[in-house]
Amino acid sequence: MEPLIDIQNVSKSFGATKALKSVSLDIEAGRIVGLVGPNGAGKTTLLRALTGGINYQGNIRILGLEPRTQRRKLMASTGVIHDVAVLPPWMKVKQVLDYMEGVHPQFDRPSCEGFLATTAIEQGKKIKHLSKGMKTQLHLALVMATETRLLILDEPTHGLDILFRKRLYTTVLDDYFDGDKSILISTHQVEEVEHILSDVIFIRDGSVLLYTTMDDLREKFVQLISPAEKAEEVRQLGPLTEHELFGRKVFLLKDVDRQAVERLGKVQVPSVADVFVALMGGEG
Amino acid sequence: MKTYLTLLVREWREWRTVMIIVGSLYLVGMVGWSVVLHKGSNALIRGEIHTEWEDFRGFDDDDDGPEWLTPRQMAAAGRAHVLLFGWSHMLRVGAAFINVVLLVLILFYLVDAVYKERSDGSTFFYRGLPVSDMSIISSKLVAGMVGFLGISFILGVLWIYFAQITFPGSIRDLLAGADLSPYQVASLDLIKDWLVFHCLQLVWLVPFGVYFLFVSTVTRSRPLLVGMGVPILLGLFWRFLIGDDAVWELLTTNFGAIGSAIQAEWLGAHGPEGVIAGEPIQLFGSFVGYLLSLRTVISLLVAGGLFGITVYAYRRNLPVS
Repeated sequence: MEPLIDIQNVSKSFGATKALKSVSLDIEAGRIVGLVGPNGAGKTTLLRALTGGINYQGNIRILGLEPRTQRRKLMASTGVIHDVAVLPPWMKVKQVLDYMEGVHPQFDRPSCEGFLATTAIEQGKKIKHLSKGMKTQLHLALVMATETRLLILDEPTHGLDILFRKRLYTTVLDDYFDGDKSILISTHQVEEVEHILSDVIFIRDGSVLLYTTMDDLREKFVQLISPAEKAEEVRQLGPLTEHELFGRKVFLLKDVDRQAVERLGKVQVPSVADVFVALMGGEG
Repeated sequence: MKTYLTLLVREWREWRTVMIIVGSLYLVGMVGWSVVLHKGSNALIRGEIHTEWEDFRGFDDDDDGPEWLTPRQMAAAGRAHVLLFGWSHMLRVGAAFINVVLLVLILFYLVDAVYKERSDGSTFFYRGLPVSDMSIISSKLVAGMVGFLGISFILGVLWIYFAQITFPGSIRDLLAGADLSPYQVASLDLIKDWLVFHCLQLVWLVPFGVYFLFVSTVTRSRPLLVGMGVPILLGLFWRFLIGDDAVWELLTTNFGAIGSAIQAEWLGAHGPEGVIAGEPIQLFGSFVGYLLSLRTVISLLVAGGLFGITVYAYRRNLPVS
C-alpha cells in the first residue's frame, strides 16, 4: 500500500544554512505522528515543504500528490494550522467563513458556526482584535469543519495557555481523528502530545534522528533508577544519559534486556521527553 | 467560477475602504469645483464680469456673405461661450483627475497586494486552501486593473451627468433670449468614448500592472519605492541617454486625451489628433486597429511573461525583511 506521506531525500537550504538534510520518511495512513525537535531543527521547514509552501530538493508525495505542482488538489484533502497567526488580520470572522465557503468544497459552515458558538468568538469581530488563543480556536474551527484526510499542525499551541492547549488536543482527538484520518503534529513541547501519538519523529539540525512507533520506543528504551553503588555496573551497559535524583542514579538505556537489568534497580518506561533529551544531548 | 468570485470579493473587502474614501473625496471635489463655477457663471450672467466679446460689434461668418449678429446677440453669445468653455474645462480637469487617481490607486493596490500577505503571514493561510497560485495572482490583477478601471469609469459617467445636471439653465436662457440655439451635448456619445478609452487603457496598462504585482511578490521591503523607482529610472535613462520620451509618453499620453475629447464634445469642436467629437476615440488609428497592432501583441507578451514569473515567485513565497 502506498504510504500517506512519502518523503525521499528532501533537502532545503536558506542561503548557507541547510534547514533540511536529505530527509526520508514514510508515514502510513491512520497514524498520529509527532514531529519533535528543538527550535530551528527544521520542523516548520519540513511541514512547509509538505504543504507546498516552499521549494525544496528531493521528492515528496502526499496522498499520491506532489505538493509543489499539485498543491491545489492536495489542499482539498489536507488541513493545516501553522505556528504563527496566519489568518488575514483585516478580515472579520464572518468574512473568513465566507471565504472558506467560497473556496473549499469540503467546508461545512454550520459545523464551524456550531464550534464557534461554544467559544467567545464573535463573528462580527476583526481577526486582528482577537486574542492569540481565539485566533487559534478560530483556525481550529475552520479546519475541524473541513472534511480532510490529513491534518498538519505546526506548533499549534505555541504561546497559548494550558487551558487552550488541553482543549485543542482534546478537540483534535474527539472531533477529527477517527482512525482513518492522519495527523502530523510538530512541537517542541513533546510532553503535552505524547499521550496521543502513535508514532514519533525526532529531528535536529535538519536530519531525522529517530522515527519509531510509540510502542517500539517504549520497548527500546528503559529508564533505570539505581542505587549509587550499582552505578558503575550500569555504566558498563552504555547508558545514553545519567543524572542524579534524590541520591539515586537515573539512567536511560537503549536495547537492553529488561529482566536482566531489573536486578540493578527500578525499571520504568521513559517518557518521550526523556528519550528526546537523551538523544538530543547525546548528539550534541 | 464560485472560487474566482470569492477571490474577487476578498479583494474588494480588503480594499473597499480605500475605494470609498477616494470616491467620496472625488465627489466632494466635484461639488466644490461646480460651486466655484456656478458663482462665476452667475457673476458673468449678471454682467459683473466683463468679457472682451462684448467689445465686438459683429463678425464675418464665412465667405458666403456677411452675417451680422446684433450687439445683444453678440454679448449673449460671448457670455455663453465663456461659460461653455468654463464648464468644458471643468469636465476636462475632472477627467484628468480621475485618471491620475486611477493610476495612483492601481500603483498602490498592486504593489501592496501580495507584499501585504507576505508581511502578515496570511500567504500561508491562502496557500493552505485548494486555490491555485495562478487564480490568486490573476484575481489580484483583475481586481486591480478591471476593478479600478471600472470605478474610474463609473466616476467618469457620474462626472458627465453631474455636469449636465448642474449646467446652469441661465446659459440656455441667455442664448435663447438672443435667438441662438444652445449646443446639445451628446452624453451617450461621451460615455461611449469614455468606455472605449477605458478598454484601451486596460490593454495598454496591463504590462505595468503585472510589473507592479511582480514587485509586490519579490521585493523584500519598500515595494512602492521599488515599483515607482524602476520606471522613473528607466524613463530618465531613456530621456537622457537615448534622447527619447517614449517611457513617459507610454504612461501619460492618453490621460490628457480623454479630457480633450470631452471638452471637444461640449464645444462641438474637434479634439486632439485622432479624437473626433461624437465619434469613437481613434487615438491609434482606430480602437480595433490598436487591439490588433504589434504594440498590443508585444504588450500582452510582456505581460504574460511577467505574469508567469510572478506566479513562480509567489510559489516560492519569498520572505520579507
